Amino acid sequence: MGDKARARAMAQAVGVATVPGSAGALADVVQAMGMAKEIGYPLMIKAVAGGGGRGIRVVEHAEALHAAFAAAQREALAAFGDGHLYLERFMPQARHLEVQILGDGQRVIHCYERECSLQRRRQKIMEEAPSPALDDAQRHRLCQAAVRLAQSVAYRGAGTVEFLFDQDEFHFIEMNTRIQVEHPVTEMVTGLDLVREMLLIADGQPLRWQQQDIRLRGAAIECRINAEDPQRNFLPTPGSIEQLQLPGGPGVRVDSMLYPGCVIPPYYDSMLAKLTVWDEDRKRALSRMRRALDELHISGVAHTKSLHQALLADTDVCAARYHTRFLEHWLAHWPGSTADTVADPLARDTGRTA
Amino acid sequence: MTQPIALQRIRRLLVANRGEIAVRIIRAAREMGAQTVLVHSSADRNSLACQMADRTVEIGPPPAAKSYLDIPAILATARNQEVDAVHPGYGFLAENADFARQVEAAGLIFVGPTADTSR
Repeated sequence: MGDKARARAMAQAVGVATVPGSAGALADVVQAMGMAKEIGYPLMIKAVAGGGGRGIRVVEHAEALHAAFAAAQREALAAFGDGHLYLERFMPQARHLEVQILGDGQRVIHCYERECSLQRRRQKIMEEAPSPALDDAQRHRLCQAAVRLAQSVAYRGAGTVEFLFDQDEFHFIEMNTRIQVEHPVTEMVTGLDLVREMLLIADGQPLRWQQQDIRLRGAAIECRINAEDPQRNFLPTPGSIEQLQLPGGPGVRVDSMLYPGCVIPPYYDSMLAKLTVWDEDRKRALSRMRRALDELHISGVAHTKSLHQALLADTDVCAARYHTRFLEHWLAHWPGSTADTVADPLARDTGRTA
Repeated sequence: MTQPIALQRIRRLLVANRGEIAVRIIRAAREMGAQTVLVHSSADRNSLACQMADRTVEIGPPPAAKSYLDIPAILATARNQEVDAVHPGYGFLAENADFARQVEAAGLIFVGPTADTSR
């Protein structure tokens, strides 16, 4: 399922809609030109072996395709050792939703969805569960689609099925066969320990749960606190942690490797902590997150707490009116950041609301 | 009375990651009575995960290509430390089908889908 083109074909085979695009890897640029006419512009060129938002190029019109295809091929070969590409419709106003699943090779259940639309350079910044954009019928359709797909490969382990959701339609993007960074929001709203379930499945034990045992309760939000300086275009800020005060109290969880005096090396990703809160409903969870962020103090390196505080004060974020391009556009107007103006040529056309 | 949650085959788990997810995996393993062996780079000698793991093995210098992505070094540690399973966390080797295949070929459990589904 890691091979994106193959995963798309498997989704279509079980009746799960995919983002309009080429059925598999393209032979060459001539085939790409023909396929692009069918898909329509804007579109994305994606690397078959890519992932985590890497190996993606947006093409606005037919004239730009030829050059972009050649460049993407070179990049993919250099980055992933595999130059195969495919095309997909670009949906700038879509939301990124993903369904957590658990399978034991016989049975698959879902643990509802996560909403991960707030992204910067395709890296998720803030996530929540459940998605405020879905009604119960839509949620049911989405989760069932994910289960069908995982069942078709007799999936074993914890996995995530990712979708774009736009205008009441969802389209499969890819399946991730790992535990995800943002798994705590699912744990908070279901009461499960996903890593425990993963280990039990790997141990050879059957799933302990029936679908009806998995209940969605309340709302959870996660903020990723990164060692990056918003004042310097989110430049990573490795260094030593001096003082550290972590928030606590009801419904507050911190996943982190920090302690006073610890060193953040420059070689790896910049995440310092995941601050996750749970409360009875989304409105209360937002307010609990504001309280928890106020309690959080990390000194020694610049970090992104102020970004989260600003987002939680934003009317559109509080009303859950956002999509995958929202944050980059928002950042261009945020005085707390000196982020470059958005490089994406389409950004000027995307509104702030979903 | 609630049923005990215990691992039967996984008595010792190798954690092939770092940072908060290594801590997260060590916590889950400990609650289930499994020992943990953490592989780490020289940059992470004093990490929280290193302090929490039952055993630690330094497998290379800071660059991930020479430590957290070094499949032969990780597999050698798994054999020397006689672990039953390998948890890759996220990132690094988590979705590397070749790594999953080699873990399974060594007779160990890969904590993830079988090598075939992650390809």
